[in-house]
Amino acid sequence: MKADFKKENAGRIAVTVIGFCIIALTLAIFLFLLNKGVQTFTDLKYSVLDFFTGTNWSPASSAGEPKGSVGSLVFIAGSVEVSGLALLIATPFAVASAVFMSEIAPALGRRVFQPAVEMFVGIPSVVYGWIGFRVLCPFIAKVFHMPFGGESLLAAGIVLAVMIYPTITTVSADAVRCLPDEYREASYGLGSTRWQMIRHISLPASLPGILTGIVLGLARAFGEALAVSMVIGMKYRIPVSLLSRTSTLTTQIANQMGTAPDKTGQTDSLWTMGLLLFVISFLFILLIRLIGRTGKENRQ
Amino acid sequence: MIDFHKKAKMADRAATACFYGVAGLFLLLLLSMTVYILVRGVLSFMPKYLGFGADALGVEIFNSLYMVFLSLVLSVPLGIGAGVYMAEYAKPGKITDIIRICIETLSSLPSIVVGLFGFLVFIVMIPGATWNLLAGVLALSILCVPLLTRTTEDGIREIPALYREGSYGVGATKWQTIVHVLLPASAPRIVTGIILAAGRGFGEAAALIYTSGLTSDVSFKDWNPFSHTSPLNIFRTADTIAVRIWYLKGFALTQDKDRIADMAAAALILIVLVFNLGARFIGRRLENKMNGTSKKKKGRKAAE
Amino acid sequence: MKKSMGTLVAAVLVAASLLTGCSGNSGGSSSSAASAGKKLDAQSITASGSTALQPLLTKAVPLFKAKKSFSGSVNINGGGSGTGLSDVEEGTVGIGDSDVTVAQAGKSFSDLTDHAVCTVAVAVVVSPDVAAHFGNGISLDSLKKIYAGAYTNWKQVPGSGNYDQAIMICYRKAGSGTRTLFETFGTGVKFNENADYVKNSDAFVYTNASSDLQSKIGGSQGAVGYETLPYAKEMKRLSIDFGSGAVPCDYDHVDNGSYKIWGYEHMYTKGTPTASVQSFIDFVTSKDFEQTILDSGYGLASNVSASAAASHK
Repeated sequence: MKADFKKENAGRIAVTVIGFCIIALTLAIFLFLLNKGVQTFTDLKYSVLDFFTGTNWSPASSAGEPKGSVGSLVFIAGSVEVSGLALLIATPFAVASAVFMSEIAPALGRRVFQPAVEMFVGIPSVVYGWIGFRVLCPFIAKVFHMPFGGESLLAAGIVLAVMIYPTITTVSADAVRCLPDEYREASYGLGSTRWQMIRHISLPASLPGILTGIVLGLARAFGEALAVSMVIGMKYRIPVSLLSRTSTLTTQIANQMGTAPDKTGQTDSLWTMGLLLFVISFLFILLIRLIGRTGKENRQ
Repeated sequence: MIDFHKKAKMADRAATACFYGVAGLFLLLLLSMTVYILVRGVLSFMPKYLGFGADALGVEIFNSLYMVFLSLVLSVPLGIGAGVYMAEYAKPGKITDIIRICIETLSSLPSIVVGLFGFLVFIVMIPGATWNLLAGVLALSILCVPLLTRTTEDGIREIPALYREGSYGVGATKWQTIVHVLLPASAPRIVTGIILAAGRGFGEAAALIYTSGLTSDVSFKDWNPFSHTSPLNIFRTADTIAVRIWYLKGFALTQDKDRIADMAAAALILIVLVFNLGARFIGRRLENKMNGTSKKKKGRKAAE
Repeated sequence: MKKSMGTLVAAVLVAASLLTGCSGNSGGSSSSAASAGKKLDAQSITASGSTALQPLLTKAVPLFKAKKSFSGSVNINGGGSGTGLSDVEEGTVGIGDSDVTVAQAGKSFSDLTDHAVCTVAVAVVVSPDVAAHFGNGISLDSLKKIYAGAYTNWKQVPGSGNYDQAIMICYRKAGSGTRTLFETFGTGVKFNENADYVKNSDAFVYTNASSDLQSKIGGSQGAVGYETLPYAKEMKRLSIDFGSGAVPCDYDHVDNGSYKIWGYEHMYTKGTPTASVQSFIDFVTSKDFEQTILDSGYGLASNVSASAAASHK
């Protein structure tokens, strides 16, 4: 009997410790990034305002060089625009697919479509980037008569859209499927067609779930580094048109990390970008929880 | 009234057509992407690049498998443990909420940020350390643990209360219930989660570029784990297939780099496909096994 | 059983990361990990940096292993000369490869030891269609104007035979040794990718490293860029007129001083290198390796005439 309780307590302690280790890990990541990220402003004395609003990124890459500036507005704007574009492209298709999977053809959805969508998720991002580079960029170059190659905001937006489509689809489909059947039956009882029921009942009622899917997709788009860097053109310029070349926070980190030693403007500003990305993902999570809570309240 | 209804019916039919169209479009997209990669891989196939020689992919394939395996060894106990905690022991309250937020933040963290953290802690802060396989494994584990935690927690929560009650009814302790009833019952779900996590590990590159490095130098004749050219040495630099594709696109040296990249992409997609289908298959097998042989369920079925 | 192992592992993970964090940036006191790091150092060689030197060193690895019966691992990474210098300064690698000296790179690391390996010439490479029109080579002045944005079409460039084609101008990243060599001994001006004329023009194309450049130039029309000779062997190169006639890009002209865009390949180490690192460097700079150097498209430092060497201090 005692042996059983020993194991009982050991087991309980073990999993509790593991649970708390998750907090420790997340906190550790945040604290390390915070420590490195604010060095740009505290030790190296770059201006915070300039970081967020400046457009000139040319920091010192060694102790002897002039300080330069770390204006990262280009990367922030690039990230925002690329993710926004991806969202705009993917959302209509994703929501439509979600509705298809759950309302129009549930059996077909479950056996064919769902596995197919999950397969999409499994494709590694470098493969998306490679296809984008080999197929999409030349195609865009031909269609839009770009003599210098098709790397552009548009190319990155399309690649990202395909990448986040499965995320939005699966989450939205779950949300629509979870609606109580009473809703549908009530709608049919009033004589509506299926489309009317979808448009007036299913979609509005599953809006919180769909929004959650959208935010998750946005978070994924924001955080994608390699696939985007292969097709975006890597220029330090705020994109002004769909065909502009630009850079994002993630591509800048991927390309420039390690090119200068620690404690220089070049490297430390990349840590700041990493910190910024962490904070933004955290904010996305809070946003999702807010949507979830509001949705529950509205339901009641 | 009738006109109204006719319009509604037309709208319904049009909408249905749209939905089928969109679904078909994306199925077509997925199919064409997969076929394109596989065909290009076949077309670019040069047997010498599949072996273990210079520039060949054999090393990277081994590295991918080895690293994913090691990271699962690390993250499966941690993930399942955390999932069990969240499902069975965590009392609803502030702290549990914080843990949940942490899990969700970890799982939505961009992999490049995880790679940066790994670079900082395992390479920069450890004197004399250079890119190594262990650092990559740890980075992968950080990515896999939240996934497995959520899968385990969801799996355990979905188990009907009757299972637990039945177990307590025969006098089992909480821990015994977890280990002998709940975990086996949610095994299909957990195993699927593990396989999907493995699939993610294969495709991961951003987290590995700065932790496990971009090159490998091993000799497959040397299997002593403490030797520097041994494939088993966890302190050596190791690149995976995904990292190699990234490297080939931007930094490679050989003339055949495009072909090697095509082959690598095809190999990667094949591995991921196998894992995906495998996950489904094993999941279904396990589920059937559980339903078929589990005595409690049979008893319940008889009672119903 | 499973759970306690998990706890142990988790505790180690957390402890390791917290410990190393608490002990600050440059000093670490985490015992097991640090000694593992040192163990790696003794019998393995890691180099990073110049993508121009990388193919030569990669070729050297099997030869070195055979000649010196070296059983450890040798990893030659790329990343650009800037990366190589900072990596070796940080201690992440044992050898930092660079196409330029620390001073030429504009850095102020004072404790690195320079080992010169060979010479490398930087060629101006163009798309095949451009090469077809340039019979007598391009003048240095035209190159300067192209990279300054003054010429946007080949028909504006003297010597191009009025070829009407927009110019696509390829540039490398800021830490690239090849770029620094091109700017120091070629155009004489530091290229600024933050300048408005670069940012606003799609004609200026960023290429990652040699392979990206090859794809871009080979696959487009009207493209121009700079590349080291070992990579440029398969590409169309232009002769350059430095003021006294067009000079082709090859090592005879580098050695006699008429072709000016070249540099030494450096392997930098910090402090005292380990025995294996020293052995590798000795092998690469030895007589046995000289033929491989020449065959791979690099030049021998010993062949450079005194006047040419003086101008490249």
